[in-house]
Order: sequence, then C-alpha cells, then structure tokens
Amino acid sequence: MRRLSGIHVRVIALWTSLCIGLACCAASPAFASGGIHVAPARVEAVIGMNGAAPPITVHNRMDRPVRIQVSVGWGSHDEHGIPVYFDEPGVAGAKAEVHPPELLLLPGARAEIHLRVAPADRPHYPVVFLTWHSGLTRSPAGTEFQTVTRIAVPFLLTPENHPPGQVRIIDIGTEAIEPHAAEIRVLVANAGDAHVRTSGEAVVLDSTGKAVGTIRLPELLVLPGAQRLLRLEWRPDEPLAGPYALLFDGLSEETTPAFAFSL
Amino acid sequence: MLLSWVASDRCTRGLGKRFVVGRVLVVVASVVCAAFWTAAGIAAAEGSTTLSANVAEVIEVLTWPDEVYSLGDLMPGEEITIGPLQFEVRSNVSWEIFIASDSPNGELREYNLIGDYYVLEGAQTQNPLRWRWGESGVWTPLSQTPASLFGIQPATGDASKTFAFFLSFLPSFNDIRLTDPNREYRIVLTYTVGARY
Repeated sequence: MRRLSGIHVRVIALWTSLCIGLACCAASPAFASGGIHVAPARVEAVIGMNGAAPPITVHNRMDRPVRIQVSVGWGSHDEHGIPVYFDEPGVAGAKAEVHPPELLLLPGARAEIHLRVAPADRPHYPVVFLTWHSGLTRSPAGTEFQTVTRIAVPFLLTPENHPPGQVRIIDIGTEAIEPHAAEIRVLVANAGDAHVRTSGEAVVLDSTGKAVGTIRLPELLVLPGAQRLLRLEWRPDEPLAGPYALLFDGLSEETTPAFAFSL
Repeated sequence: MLLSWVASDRCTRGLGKRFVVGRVLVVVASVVCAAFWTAAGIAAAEGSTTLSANVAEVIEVLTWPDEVYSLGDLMPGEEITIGPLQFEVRSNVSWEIFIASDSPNGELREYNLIGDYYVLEGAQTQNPLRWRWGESGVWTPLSQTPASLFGIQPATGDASKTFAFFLSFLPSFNDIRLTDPNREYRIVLTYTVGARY
C-alpha cells in the first residue's frame, strides 16, 4: 500500500475538519432552517384566581435576530368560523395584559409570553398578537407600501366550574342538492357568556311522524355573542318526498319545536 | 423426587430422625425461595413503562413578504404588478392568513415622513391597491376588513406549505404628484396568521 505524503494528510485533515465544522453549524439552533415558531397556536384553559393564563412560547428558529412586539386584543368569529380580531386591549369592562410587551430573540432563542386577564371570575376571549420586525427602513419619498406580519394566538379562558354557553337556533334553511340528498343549514347563536361546542343530532320525521333519518351535528365552537352556521347533509335511501319535520336533540337546553319542511 | 431422595435410607443412613426432618425442611424452603425468585424475575422481565403525552398545536411562519416596497415614481395609466409575494407556513393545526390594509378602501394616502403620520385630509390615490392569490386569482381591492388570502388550510405536516400572491396598482391621471420631498403615498398591509376557531 502506498503511503500518503504529508501534503495529502494535511488536505484530508483540512477537509475533515471543514466537514465536521459544517455539520456542527447545521446542527446548532442558530443555523436551523426555520422561522417564527409559536406554541400553542391556540389556548383553551381554566384561568386561575389571579387571572393568569397558560404561557405561550415563541421560538426564533431563524439564523438572524428578530424583534417581536407582543400586543393583546379580543377575538370572535363570523358564522363560518372565520376569526374576527379586535385590536383594542380592553373591552366591556375586561382587561388583558401581556408580558413582556417586546422581545429581542437571538437566533435559536425562545421566550415565554404571559397573559393575565381581569376580572378572573368570568370568561375571556383575548387574542395575543406577535408582530415581528427586522427593522423598518425609511425609503426615499415616492410611493411605497409596508407590510406587517403577525401571528394571532386566540385564547378561550373560563373560570373553574363555569357553565358553558347556551345555544339557540336562529334560523333553519333546507335545500335539495340531489334527488337523494338535502342540505340543512342551521344557524345557531350563543346567548351565554361562555363558549360552547355544538353537539347532538337532528332527527328527520316523515308526515306520519316516523323517524326516517338521523344526522349527527358537527362539533363546532360558538363564542359568546357569536353565531355559527351548521351545514348538515341528509342522504335518505328513498328519493326525497315530503313534507318532513326536523327535531333537534342535545343541541340546546331549550326545547326547540319541530321544524317542518318540504323539498 | 428430590425430597424422596433426601428422605431415603441411602441418604439418611446413620443420621438422626430430627436431622432428616430439618434437612427436608431446608430443601423445601430452598425450592420455595427459588420459585419465588424465578417468579420475581419473570415479572421483572414482563414489566412495562407507560409514557403519556400530548402534542402542542404549533404554527411556524418560515417565509413572509418583505417589510417595505418602495415603488418610486409611478406613471399614470401604467399598471404595476408586484410579486409573487410568498408565505411559507408549517403547522399541525388548520390555519389561515388574513390580509388587511390600514386605509378603509385600499387607497394609498399622503404620508408625512418627518412627523410619521398620515396627513389629515391629504391626497390619496384614486385607485386601490389590489391583491390576488396565484396567477389565476381574481383581483380584489384591499380594505380594512380582513380577507382570507388562501382560504382555510389544513395542517401541513412536516413539509411546509408555500403560497404566492400578487399585488397590483394602477396610478390614475387624477392622482397628483406630492411636491414636498417629505411626503409620499403610503399604505400598510397587515398579514395575520392564525388557527381557526
């Protein structure tokens, strides 16, 4: 076997150390290929006596520092569940505070963000906004647009043993979408002060009062004061005829009268 | 068999009766102990460890549009298109991105660079800034009411998901040039990434 010359040994050593160095850099958090990482992305929790909510963690997984502004607003949703955010920190006698209000996260660094609401004896639905900047630069005058990117973390906070909200049916609509299928749209509202998830089933009765179908209701979140549209699909074995009546079981504590419909 | 051999005449020849009984008891105790240790060993071999955990819901934004786009002097009647602007998101929960502007109907408004404020009753462009997703989306004027950029998205899994969108602006001949060097037309767009209720 031919012996390696000194220059060969040095070249191999150089390459080896270079490869090891690169591997170490790639493994280090500073060189992790990532972005702004927030966990949990939404929080549902029981608040303590002091109004403290579980913290959220923000992690800078980029290879550059980032400055993050933390602010708090309030959230709700439209009838399709699309979030609606209000940027005001206080609403209807309630207050929410976050700490810290600003963070400078170095590459690989992470920090906890704490939220406290008051009063602690009622439900709250704050949203924590994490807005980041790498430093806005002032442009020469002309025409410009600026962009701001942020992550919204919605919180569902209730005191211990607080009863859930009350779902009421606001409107029902039906439509034949196929000879053997009907869509039933049920608009519900939450009249309580706490969130609630829809549950239960809808029973379809024919003109003789015989149950001809049962539709399980989807489990959808309804925040207090908000409405939510439940889209149900009924596919009976027989072609659609009518008239029918719809009875809801387990959706609301109120007794809902049977809803008559024809297709 | 062991016990019968221990108690046999061959084994106990010349030994007292009490000694033989004691010897039998010692053997019985040894067998019981061995059985106990064996059972304990089997139990240890079949032991189990229960790990319980849950997974946090996480959103990670990996790529987002630049913070400032300076368009310089624009020509009336010549529409400009900016993009593709990209978002890259990784998440284990369904998520959505909303876009909204700080002007009510997406117009660019006169901004004072020295005082850092929009000029009250200042000039504003006639046409709004518009957005569309991808190459084939429909141009939509921006507004203060948040609009969903790409609709609700399912969890991405380990592979992140990248979306592109475009912005467009058509300067009008009704738009006046701002002569003060410390004034410009400006609009701020806010992108909000979040999980759905």
